[in-house]
Amino acid sequence: MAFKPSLKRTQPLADTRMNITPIMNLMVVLIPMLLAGAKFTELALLEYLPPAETGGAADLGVTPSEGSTDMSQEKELNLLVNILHTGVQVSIFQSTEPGPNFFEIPLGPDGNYDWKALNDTLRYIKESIVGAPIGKKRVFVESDSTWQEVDAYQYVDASEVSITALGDIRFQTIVRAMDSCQKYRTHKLVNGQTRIIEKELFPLTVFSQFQELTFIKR
Amino acid sequence: MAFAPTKGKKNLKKEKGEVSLTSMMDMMTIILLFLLKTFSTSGALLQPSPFVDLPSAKRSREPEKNLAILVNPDLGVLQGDEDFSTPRPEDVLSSLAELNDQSNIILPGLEQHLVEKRETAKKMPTGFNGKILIQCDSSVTYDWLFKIVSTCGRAEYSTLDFVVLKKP
Repeated sequence: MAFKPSLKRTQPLADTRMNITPIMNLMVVLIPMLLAGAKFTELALLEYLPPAETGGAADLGVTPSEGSTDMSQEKELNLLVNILHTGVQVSIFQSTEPGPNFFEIPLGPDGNYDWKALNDTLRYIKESIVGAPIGKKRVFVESDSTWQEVDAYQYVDASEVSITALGDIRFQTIVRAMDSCQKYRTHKLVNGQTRIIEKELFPLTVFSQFQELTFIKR
Repeated sequence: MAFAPTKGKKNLKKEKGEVSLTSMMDMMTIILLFLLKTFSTSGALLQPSPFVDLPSAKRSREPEKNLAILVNPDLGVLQGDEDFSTPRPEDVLSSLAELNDQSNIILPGLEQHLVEKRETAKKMPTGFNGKILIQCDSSVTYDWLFKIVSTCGRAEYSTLDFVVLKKP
């Protein structure tokens, strides 16, 4: 007697499509939740270091680098950036009159502050007047509460800039000035390719009371 | 009178109308992956206040949670630790009169608040770290800013972090 024909031949194929409705439900919940938590404006912090008497960076002594002999840590740069309505003044060594230690940056042709010129002036001061590091020193970084080894320069305040402005200068202008004082961009040849790198200028900012220096001539 | 339907139409099997969810799934998967990639916990740490129009800066570091104050040009210095939709009188630490007073560079209301917070923090196991977050409106003037910074320094807050919008 022959076997009964297999039902597989006649049985219709079951619907093998995956049920994606639960996954869709999950996504419908997840997407609005992530959209609500998404950051469309990115916030960041601009650090300000107050004057030393209120707990600034403490110098723990300097270790001379090889070949350097000049370790006079008494010299001060006294870098001052003065923001006026007519432009920006940059002074070093407490100079108050036009000369090699006093720079005037008038407003640009569009009537706005020339932040690039300020950045270039500070770069000139850092490279030509402050010069290369002469050793290493340990400083206490308040933001991280740790001791770090940093470069030591011939001037004890070689990383500090004092920013002052007229009383009615807006905070946005001060922030732009702080931005210009922190770093500068330069090109560096790495493995035969030119890359843009950022180098430190004067990252420690101190606000001080406005001092009237020579007015900018327009 | 309408014609009777043809035999073909009469016996036509109506197909079950189903929406194809496959393309929608593809789209949602891409959106989900994009949102998961851009999701950051630091955004939850720091929320911009609706009372402050923050300035923008190019060079800045990642936000962290600390004692916070707000500076608004129309309201003065406000506490920034609690979220509020309408500022109450007790949220104002230093009024406009205090800020515009030319005879003093220290703000008494702000100083009192900071000293209280400092003493409370000293009693906590984490201790006092001397850090403060300042959400300052971009239109606030330098003379106000100098008073706020001087007051923070007097109250032993040595690290001041200004909240800014990061420029690309």
